[in-house]
Amino acid sequence: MSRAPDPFTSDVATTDRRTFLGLAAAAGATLAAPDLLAAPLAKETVAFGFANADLQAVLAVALSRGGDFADLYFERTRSVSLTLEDDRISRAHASSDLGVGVRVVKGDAVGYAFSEVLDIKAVKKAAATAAAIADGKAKPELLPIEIAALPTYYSRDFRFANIDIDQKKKLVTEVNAKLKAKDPRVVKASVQYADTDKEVFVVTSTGHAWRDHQPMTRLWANCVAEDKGKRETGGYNIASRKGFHIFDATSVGRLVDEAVRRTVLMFDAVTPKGGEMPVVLGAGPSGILLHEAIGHGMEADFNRKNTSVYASKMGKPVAEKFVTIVDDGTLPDARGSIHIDDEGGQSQKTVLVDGGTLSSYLHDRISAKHYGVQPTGNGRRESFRHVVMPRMRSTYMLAGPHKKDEIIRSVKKGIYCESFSNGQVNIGAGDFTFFLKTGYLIEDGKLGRPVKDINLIGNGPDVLTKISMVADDLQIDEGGWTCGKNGQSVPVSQGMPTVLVKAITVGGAA
Amino acid sequence: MNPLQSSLDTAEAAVAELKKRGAQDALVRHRSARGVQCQVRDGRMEKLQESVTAELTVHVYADGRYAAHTTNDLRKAELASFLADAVKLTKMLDPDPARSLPAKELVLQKPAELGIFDSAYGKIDTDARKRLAQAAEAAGKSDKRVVSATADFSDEHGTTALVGSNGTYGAQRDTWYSLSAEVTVAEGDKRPEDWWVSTSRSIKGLGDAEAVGKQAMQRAIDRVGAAKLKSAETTLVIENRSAGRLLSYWLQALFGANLQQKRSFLEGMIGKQVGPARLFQLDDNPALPGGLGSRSFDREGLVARTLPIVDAGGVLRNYYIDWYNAQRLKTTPTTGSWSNLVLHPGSESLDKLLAAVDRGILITSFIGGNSNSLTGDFSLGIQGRVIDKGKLGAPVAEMNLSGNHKTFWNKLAAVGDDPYLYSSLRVPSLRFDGAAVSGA
Repeated sequence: MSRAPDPFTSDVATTDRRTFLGLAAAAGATLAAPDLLAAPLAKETVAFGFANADLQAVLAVALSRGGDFADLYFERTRSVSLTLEDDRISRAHASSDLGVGVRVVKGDAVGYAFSEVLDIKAVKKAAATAAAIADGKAKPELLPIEIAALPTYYSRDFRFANIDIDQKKKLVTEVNAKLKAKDPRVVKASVQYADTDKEVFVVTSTGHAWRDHQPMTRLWANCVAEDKGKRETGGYNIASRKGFHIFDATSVGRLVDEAVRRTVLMFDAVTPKGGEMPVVLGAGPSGILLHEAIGHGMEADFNRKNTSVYASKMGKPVAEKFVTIVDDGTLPDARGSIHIDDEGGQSQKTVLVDGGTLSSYLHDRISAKHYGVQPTGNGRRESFRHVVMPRMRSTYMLAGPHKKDEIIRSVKKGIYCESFSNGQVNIGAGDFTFFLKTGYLIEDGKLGRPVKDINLIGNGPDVLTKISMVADDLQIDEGGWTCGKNGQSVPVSQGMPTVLVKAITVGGAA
Repeated sequence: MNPLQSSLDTAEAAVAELKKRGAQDALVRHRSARGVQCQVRDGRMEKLQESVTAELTVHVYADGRYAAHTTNDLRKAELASFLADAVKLTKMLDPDPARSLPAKELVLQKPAELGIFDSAYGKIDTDARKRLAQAAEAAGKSDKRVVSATADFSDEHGTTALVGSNGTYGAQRDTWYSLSAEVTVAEGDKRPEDWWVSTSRSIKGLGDAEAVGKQAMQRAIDRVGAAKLKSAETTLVIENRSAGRLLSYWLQALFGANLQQKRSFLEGMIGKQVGPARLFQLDDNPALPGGLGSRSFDREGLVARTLPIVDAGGVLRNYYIDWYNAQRLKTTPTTGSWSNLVLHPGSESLDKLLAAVDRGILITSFIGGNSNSLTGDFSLGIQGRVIDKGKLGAPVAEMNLSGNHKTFWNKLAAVGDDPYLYSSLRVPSLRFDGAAVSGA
């Protein structure tokens, strides 16, 4: 499931327990804090106040009942968000989160506990709790801890906490003024800025360790516009791991233009007649189709348990030869990028569908061991409070042989999709949905009136076979997507070239 | 020390510290909790997790400005520095005349007894958790077609204290248990799945563990052979398990923040008809004994009280308006969120609702979709069963239900006697006449 949450509306509580996606963390810290990783440390201390001997001692407790593997995930996250409504920055939220998670793996079973108090006694207690997933006796042999160097897919040399709050205020205020100035029909504007500095230090019982800083920022603009007694709402957002300078004149201009355009466009929108029809997926945000239709189904934990619709399709053709789909942790500055996964797996570009053939699942350590393959760097977790699972990073389709114009021209009657808000999938049956926020009717090969707020539903493997044209215009969406699975949220990206799906069920009037 | 008093003392000390640092007012929430999750597959424990957490959320009012701050680092020196920073950040924002703490006479001073804490909590150990999950899992794989069954037993015991400089003072303990099962069956390459869950404030309230597994399994088996139908206007019965989700979208339009930001299709509708009389009647009841949403106070400290939302005549009576938005909208606050939302049950069972339908669809779950709180447009993926001459037929998948809340709820034609008890949205099964579904 994937969602671009709207921070301005209350989260919808639902009775469907598959739909428990939280909002992306409201984010950021305000004031400089001691940097737990970079600051000069006491001689024996490795990180978070723990010396080598302490780490070894905790790992020894973790494996004391015969676990195969253990890791410690230390985290400090500081976030800040600013919200502007009615021309004033009327609220801020700052948060600070600190803790260490202890995981013990025995076969494919996991014991997990965490401590929010970083003293050795408390952490050992958590380790003893996690150890209980195994029930033998053991005297584990621990390897010396070596800290690994990481690749660089985004800068870790800055802290949002060190940027003056006035600069952040200025940005939010400027966006608001521009939204109001852009179109006189805008009657309400709201703007939210959020940033996060996440410091992690991870150490495993195999002697591996690494430190990372994982920055994240995001800026939302939302409008309500009124025209001739009619009211509509719309918005746009930009998310990145790049520093504060991502918000320059160009990106802020685009944010404002798109937020307003997507709002006033709705005055002309119609509800289409529902049913099965050809759908053109616009470049960029339409990557949500890949996330739902195939991405989740390729997460190897589901396949290991034989609960995915893709469980018996490895190595088989699933789409036309010009369809190649990847999940990539290495895109520069992307929200979905990671230097290393949350259990030490090297980040990489994993090919899910290679020239139309299913080629690799997305693995964490446990599933890779089950299948006897190398992990693909997809073992991720929301925080120190959560276990690792196979998760997506940036999921997209490579460019194909067709042209955007040619694709639209080929459709007599259908829908062109521009932007989306959320999606969901049933892993086993393969049915998935994605919710269209803005799009257009296609009539006789031309874009017609706008459409809005309709759900699209299809079956993953079936829709893959119906991708009949792929354009050469791949775009990675710059919006902030958050993926939810088993109650854990992680940041992801998605992308797509313009694509034609021959038939998919579109919601609408009877 | 008594955990309630200790939690209150922590919150009270933070209020004093914030005032010392320059805040004029402060509201502080302290929550500590312990939870355990035990997941079973193939008869053995696949995941065992223990979570012990403590967190302080402070709402700071300083020089006409407001901000909220959250930390889990409660060490003395670190907390003092965090609170000092909280006041500093707050003072850097824009002044907002609508920001204040609720009036003293509206806020909590003594929690009510709500039956949301189970004193048996301490007696449940890991073996007991494992046995319950194993019983549900075993029942969930008793059919040959099952390829995977997973059962999960989770519980939590927490204490929440709320202390404010406006006289807010109260703390409450709560417990929560959940037993769920997820079952997948084989159908060629497809693996249809479904789930069932029982949730309760007390361990006794969970009921029979095997029933949870059996329900999940039967529902998964019932999904085999699912296909879409042709687009049509048809009669719908929405099962209680899913009806709350549809209603939750309608409820979005009642919130003060959406009303104030002009994002509500129910603006100006107080005193007007919003659904059929005697069928669409809603109350917010925070005092339901053992209710999953029961509470003595809301997040701002407002004392919880029963709130009619839609009366017996189908007329809208109240919005959900928190103190802040009440100041902005210059109106009276109610509460900022629902507690237990009760749609008044009817007298007919689900079977009877179905029996009255010649041709239609029973929706057993929604998948994806969304709703627009400003326009009222919604569109949701659906799955369920065909209803043919009052009887359940083939499974249905890959279809959408689309409509507008302003007209859709007027199509409500019958309400079941079976409110869903495993959610704070206590909604029975509902029948709608003439709904637009799209498929093949």
